[in-house]
Amino acid sequence: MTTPDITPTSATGPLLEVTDLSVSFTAHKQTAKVVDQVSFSVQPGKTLGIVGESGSGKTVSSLALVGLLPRTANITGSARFAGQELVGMTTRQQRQIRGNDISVIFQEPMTSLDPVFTVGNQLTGAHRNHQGGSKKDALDRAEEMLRLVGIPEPRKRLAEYPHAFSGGMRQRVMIALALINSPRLLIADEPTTALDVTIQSQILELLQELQQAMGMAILFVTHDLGVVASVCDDVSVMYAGQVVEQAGIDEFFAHPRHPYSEGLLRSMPHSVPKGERLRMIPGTVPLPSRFPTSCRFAGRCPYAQEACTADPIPLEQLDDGRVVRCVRHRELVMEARS
Amino acid sequence: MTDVSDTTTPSEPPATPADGAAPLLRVRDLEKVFPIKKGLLRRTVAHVRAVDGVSFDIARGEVLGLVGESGSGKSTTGRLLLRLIEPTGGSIELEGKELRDLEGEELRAVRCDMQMVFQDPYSSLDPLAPVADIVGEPFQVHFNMPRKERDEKVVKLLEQVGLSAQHLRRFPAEFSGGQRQRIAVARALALEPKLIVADEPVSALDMSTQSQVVNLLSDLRERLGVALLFIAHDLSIVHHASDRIAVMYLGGIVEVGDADDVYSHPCHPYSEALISAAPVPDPVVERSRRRIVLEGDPPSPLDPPSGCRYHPRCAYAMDICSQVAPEPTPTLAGGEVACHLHTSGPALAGRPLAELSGVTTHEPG
Repeated sequence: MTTPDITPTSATGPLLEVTDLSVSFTAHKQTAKVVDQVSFSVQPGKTLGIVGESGSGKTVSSLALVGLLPRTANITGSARFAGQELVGMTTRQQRQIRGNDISVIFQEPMTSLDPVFTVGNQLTGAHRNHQGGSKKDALDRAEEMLRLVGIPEPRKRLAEYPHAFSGGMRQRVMIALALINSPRLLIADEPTTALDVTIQSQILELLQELQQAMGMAILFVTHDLGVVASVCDDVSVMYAGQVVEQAGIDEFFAHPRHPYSEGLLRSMPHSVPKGERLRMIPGTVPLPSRFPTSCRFAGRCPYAQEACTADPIPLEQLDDGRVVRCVRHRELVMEARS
Repeated sequence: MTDVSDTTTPSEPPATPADGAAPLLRVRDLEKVFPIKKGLLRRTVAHVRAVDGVSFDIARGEVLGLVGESGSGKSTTGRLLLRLIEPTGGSIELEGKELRDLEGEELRAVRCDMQMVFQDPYSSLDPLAPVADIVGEPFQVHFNMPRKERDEKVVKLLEQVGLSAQHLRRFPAEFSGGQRQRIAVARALALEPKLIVADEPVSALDMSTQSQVVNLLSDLRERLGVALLFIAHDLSIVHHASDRIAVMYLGGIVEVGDADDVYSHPCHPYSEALISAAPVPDPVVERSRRRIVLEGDPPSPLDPPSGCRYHPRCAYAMDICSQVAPEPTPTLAGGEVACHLHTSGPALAGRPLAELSGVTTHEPG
């Protein structure tokens, strides 16, 4: 492939545009397509939430963008980041981008920091790998980052190992590490799921502050619709490896257009008065080897008809900019609350 | 200062359910101190007061929600009730019978009445045992019931939790997370217990299956009249599933009361912060509401703060808070709260915290 040249995007174009991204794994001569023609875009400085349950393919799609999937993954489609094609990049090119223009923070801050190096060592390494410069400069930058993410006595704590930090503090270190090279896109994969709610609200607040200060875009992978409502601008809902709906959060939470989105919103305890039974989505997500070729949600959908189980359902772009994958979306009127 | 030595005169029973009937479970001054051992000789160098003077009641058929952050001692409390770990102080009475005195056969007999559902249905079920053995084991252990009879009972239990006879010979790996948690609930129901302690029963589940398990638990309560201690960190689910809520912080209960009252009109600053921290799935609400962001981490239970254990993170802290541990006082809504704001300083006297808005909160008491 040709060497991509880095051209800044225009103010209006998306920073990241993913089109028909598919990921499949082959094991025991069986191929499972766990991500199937996923498309979404992230605007500069904005936050896109990717919501889905376990097995929806939300994490696999985001890791595919930065080359963090195992070699056995077969990735097709396109993901354009600031004019560069991410799919098909060599490992060397990926390394130049990862941790620099695109950074990732993960769910488990304990396993994503290296336990045998000091925090300062990891931070300065990340800085010097991409920016070069002296150790002294890198150390100053590392200290600045720790201060920025709200860690008291940053200079002293640079010499400590990850185990000396609490869960919330470790996630702050992880954020400092991800942001030390001022990325334009941050991929946050369930960054607060392992944390207590009080610590979660600190981290969400911090991410929003840093986003405003640094102007980066965030791809926020989560299963928590409350988190989506509090930090995202747009949301993309994934089900069984496909995007089923994408919309701005206000429209989405007021009027979901896909029955799965409606089911999710209604199953939240907030949507029914106390004392009433919670709404449920019956059944479970099918396994990737058993994804139907037609609508993948049809088996659990209260609105399913014959048309839903006949052909593959296309992802339809609506006039108001929303995107939905459902044959009946025109006739169905859905509410987040029942 | 955390020593609860002045409890010789037991105060009014805290956190009594609304009706006057004798409670099913009565817990008083429950305490668990873990020794910290170090070095070659495993000498005890310090103590952690994981549960420090916890008192509450659970009525027959009642659901008490127990919430708090990790490290608050809520799971330890649940395990202490069943004596899965040994309490170091206090009393646990089930139908008037003191559980702490029981041993051996007697203890085993009482455990028929109290069962547990654990958080992770992936590790709490034996992967090598078929469902028939997992759910049927209590019958074998307690009654030495023959296989055929056992299987009949197991089928009935599976039907109660929404599974069926065809699942009898399957193994845990063949089930989804929600189904596994149903199996765990079926096992807990096997001996027709009077109380089930459910420790984060839905935290490991996907959102669309969480509500299936919550509904199952409320159905069972209605049909079988089993009481439930619902331990969780997700306040919206606890609020929905519980009659009353107890909020724990660093080993102690800071507030207890009717679920709606605690959720909508908290009286303790920590309850308020905890509720405000949980994001609501509504962007309009999220943009407009005032969120209390707590500073710092919960302090280490190894070295808890003096006075009120919450004072270093509390937005309303007064001078007295760092000196004297607050005693539980009744709230107007019929619950209890342990906070100086209700007795000193602005003196809320049991009214919800929201009524403080006009009051200067940093005025010394």
